[in-house]
Amino acid sequence: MNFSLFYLSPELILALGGIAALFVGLASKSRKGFPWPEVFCLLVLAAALVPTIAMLTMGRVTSGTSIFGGIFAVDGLAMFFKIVALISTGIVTLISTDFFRRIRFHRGEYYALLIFATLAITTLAASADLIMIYLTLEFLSLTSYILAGYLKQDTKSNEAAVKYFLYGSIASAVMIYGMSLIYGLTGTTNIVEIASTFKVNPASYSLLYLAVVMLLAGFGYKIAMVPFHQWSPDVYEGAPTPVTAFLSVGSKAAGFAVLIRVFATGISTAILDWAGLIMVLSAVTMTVGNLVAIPQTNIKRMLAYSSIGQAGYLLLGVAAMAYSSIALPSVLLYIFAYTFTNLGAFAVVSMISTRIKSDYIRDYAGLIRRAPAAAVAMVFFMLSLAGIPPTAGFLGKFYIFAAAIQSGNSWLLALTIVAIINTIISVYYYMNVVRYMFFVKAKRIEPIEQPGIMNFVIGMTFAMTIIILVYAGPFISMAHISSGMFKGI
Amino acid sequence: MPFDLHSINLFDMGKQFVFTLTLQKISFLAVAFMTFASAVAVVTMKNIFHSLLFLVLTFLGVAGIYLLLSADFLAAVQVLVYIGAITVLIMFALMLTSKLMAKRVSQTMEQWIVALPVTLGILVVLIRLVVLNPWGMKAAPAGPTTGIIGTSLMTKYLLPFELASIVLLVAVVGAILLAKEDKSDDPS
Repeated sequence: MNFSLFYLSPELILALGGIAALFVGLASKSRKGFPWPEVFCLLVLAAALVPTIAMLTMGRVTSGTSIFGGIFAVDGLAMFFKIVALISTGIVTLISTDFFRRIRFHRGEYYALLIFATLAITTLAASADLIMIYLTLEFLSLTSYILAGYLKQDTKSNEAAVKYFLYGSIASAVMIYGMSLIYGLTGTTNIVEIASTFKVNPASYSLLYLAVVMLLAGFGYKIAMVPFHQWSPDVYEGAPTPVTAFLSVGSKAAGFAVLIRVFATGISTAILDWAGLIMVLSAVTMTVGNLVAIPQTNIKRMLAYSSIGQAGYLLLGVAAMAYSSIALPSVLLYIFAYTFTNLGAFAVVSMISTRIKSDYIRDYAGLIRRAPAAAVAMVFFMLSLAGIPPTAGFLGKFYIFAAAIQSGNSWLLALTIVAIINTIISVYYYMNVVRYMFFVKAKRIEPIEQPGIMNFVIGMTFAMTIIILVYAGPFISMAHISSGMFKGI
Repeated sequence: MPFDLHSINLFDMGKQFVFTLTLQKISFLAVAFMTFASAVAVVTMKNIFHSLLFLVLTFLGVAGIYLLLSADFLAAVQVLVYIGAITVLIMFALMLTSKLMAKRVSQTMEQWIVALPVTLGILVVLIRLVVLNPWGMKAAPAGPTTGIIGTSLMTKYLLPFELASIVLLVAVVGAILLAKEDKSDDPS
């Protein structure tokens, strides 16, 4: 039991920190003076990051173990997603300090909710039991609804919260029905025991397939997978930009964490061949995301469709997991690269849009004169999202495509060709932003103020976007260490 | 002679068996019909308050089904939480919004023509799959479940049990945040 307390330490720190953050918010009502809620939020996240990294580097967790009788996995996969969640919430916190500078809002509660949302992701990443998965998914959704509607005076933010809530409740209702079917087939909710039960008594194929499709409704909603993506453009547009950044990275990563765990450990391909289904969904997701992104004029909507497209590439990696051992590390590497790239892009969008009071791409015209550093960084973020060197996105995409080709499966090969065509399509709308920033004449030319904190965030994400490619070794080995998974006692 | 006795016994047992099955069947059919009919009424009533009253009946029907499945604790929770708390909460919300109380509104919109075949299709697929396939699971022996549930909540499922309290905390904070009227002199 002594060990389990250490294994649980990131969650304990986050839970206590989140509750304490509510009081810190109460104590620092004044907007002037030291920004206690922000600093406290960052301290809590950093404190939770230390034991998480320690567990991953200690090497003990790579083989995988579990606490609480197998419902809470302590393995590389969980640690990886915890690290991604903690880092991305940290960056979102920094973006928030700038975004909410001139907006009246409940500050203490906002940062407490961010911490709780991170707690939801960290527990979700470690959940190895359907009850835990359902509870943590609902926890994450509930927190996200509140955060999406945080700008109460803004009708678009209200719309975002209500749409997200309605869509999310239906998706989780369908998912819990699928979970109940699996429980009915196996008599257990633990995904390791589910796997062992199915190996002894194979279930009826059609019934299990139905359950898997229903599970995918809940997971697919979190990762914005077509056809469960309709909420994402409206929510991304209406939610406060830092929250959009959180949804597009932390929340999406959480969806992939649970998807990977359930399909790799619980319902593996030996039990039900889901690779074909995921491949079809991957092709549809990336194609819809990339095609619909082209006509978008609002940069947040464009990034929403772009993130749907990114989910499609990641699903290609998930499908390749059925055939190739390097698929999982490459998916993780892609998620790591995508985290910094997308957060960097949203940092630029947040900084610019609060100052020019517009989210339209046409208002980014002439940005190279008005905010040169941000414009240059944005070019690299767009290149990285498109997967063009010299950026991290290239490495991620290269590894995923390599895993798909290495598997030797002809369907995966065909899907890789679809993905490459989609990449070429995506270059068009990513470079459209660059075209506006560099080559379209601006109506106004006065420079845009760049506060130090945003320079730091954009500079840091920019540096990571380059470093992950240039100095790839440690990141690749981290992805390999992290792909260790708890598969039973 | 032994043969006759045997057959009589079998006949008696069979008769008893048929009888108990029918009793269970009758109560199931009654409860299921009540649940289904009131659920239909919930989504068709023009007055939203009437919908709510039928919702109580639906929840009661679901509690009845839990009882028939010998899930006693679940049935009690269903009555306490759903009928006792949730519907009363909705009732308060309705009574406080006078606009909704008297209004007669249609619950269908023009998209029902598309929605009906889709939902019916899903229903047919679900029924076919769930009824025609073997489940392989045997029902647990009937008996009181409260103690078992309590033990597992305090041992194996301690973590989700504790986590649920944080979920509730977040829900409370969020409800206050979203419902609170922001005054212009609000300091934060």
